[in-house]
Amino acid sequence: MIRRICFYHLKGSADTEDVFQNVFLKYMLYEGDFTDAEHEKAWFIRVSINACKDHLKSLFRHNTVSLEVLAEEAAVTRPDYKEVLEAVLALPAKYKDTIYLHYYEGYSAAEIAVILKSKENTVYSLLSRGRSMLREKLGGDGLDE
Amino acid sequence: MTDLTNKIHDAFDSVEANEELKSSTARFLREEREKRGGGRVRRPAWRTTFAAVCAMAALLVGVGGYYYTTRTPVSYVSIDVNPSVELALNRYDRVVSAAAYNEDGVIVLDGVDVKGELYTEAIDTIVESEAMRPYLTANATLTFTVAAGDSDKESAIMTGIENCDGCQEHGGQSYTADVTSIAAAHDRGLSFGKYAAYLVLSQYDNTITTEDCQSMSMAEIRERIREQEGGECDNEDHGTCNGENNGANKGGDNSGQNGSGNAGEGDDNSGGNCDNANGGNGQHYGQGND
Repeated sequence: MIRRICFYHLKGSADTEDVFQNVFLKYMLYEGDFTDAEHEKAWFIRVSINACKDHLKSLFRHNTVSLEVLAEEAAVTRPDYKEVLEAVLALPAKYKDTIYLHYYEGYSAAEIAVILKSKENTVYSLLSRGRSMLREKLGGDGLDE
Repeated sequence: MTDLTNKIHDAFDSVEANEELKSSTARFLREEREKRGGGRVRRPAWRTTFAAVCAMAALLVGVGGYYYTTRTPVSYVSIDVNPSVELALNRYDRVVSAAAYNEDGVIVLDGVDVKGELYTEAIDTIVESEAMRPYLTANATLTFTVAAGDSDKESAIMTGIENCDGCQEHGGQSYTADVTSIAAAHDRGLSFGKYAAYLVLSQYDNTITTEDCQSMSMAEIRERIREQEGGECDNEDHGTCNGENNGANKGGDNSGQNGSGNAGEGDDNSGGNCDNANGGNGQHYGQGND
């Protein structure tokens, strides 16, 4: 999960390693308690997203997606997966988290709002616009509501 | 779930932390731990070891925890007509695996790919597939059996199933079963849905064997149960027959699972037989241990 969040935020593998390690360092040093596994997972998501954003702020980065970046992902071998991942990576940053959390992690808009400390309506509109953008890029039969 | 939604799920599934990243992170955490302890009085060796073990455990929990929550089945749905198919669902109700428990089931699963789909979508995909069509005749009995080891979860899944197009269009019936029966069912080469029906029938007919049930369709097993019950309501355990039978809201209430509800008269059914194609649902299979 952390790897995936790093992937769609950072794209480059070297940055991913830095952030990945940082997240676990924070986890190691974290002194709070988790009420359950779900709470712990939400903590990881929030910390990973924040770590990625902090990392991006601290460095000058090109905000473009290239096939070369995806080529570094040895596991992504299928052309249709590359196409989908490129489309998600090409979304403006604010849409990526909601799209990922909803379509991959299976969170509802209300749950995403809690994790991202955002408003539920904002999440709905991000999901809706994100879906439209993906539909434009990928065509096909669209995405579930 | 649409094809594109599946693609997003599968595409992200292909991105994961490789071994190199995991081991470099473990190394990094060890070094950090040592560094942070470096300026202090040297700690006893056991404490250093303990700290390293904690760091490794944290890493394993973090990396492995995700794998655990998305890939580990926590609930199961058995779909039985004559084809017997089982879906294993993760905690997010997505299909982790689909398995066939007879030859017809193999044929059905050959034609569909439901991995990663929500169970409701997977059920619609399977029930409405070309391969399933020949089996869903007017006399067929489409049965869904849910096992999750948690009555709230089972209730939620049953409600989802009963609202599926595939369930409603074909008059499916839903039941719950004990999660502990799954291994016994598989040992005998049956889906746990069919095995649960076998257990009910075997209470009335001790000559029936699991081998017999392997070659019987669910409609045949249910018919035998009805015969044994003398045409009474099909509530072999604490079950209910919710006699409303409108096909649109099929016993989504929990009464069938906790056995407290409405012993059915099937009053708007023909012959008082609740186990018809459009009704009788929300029952608990098994041996009175719900």
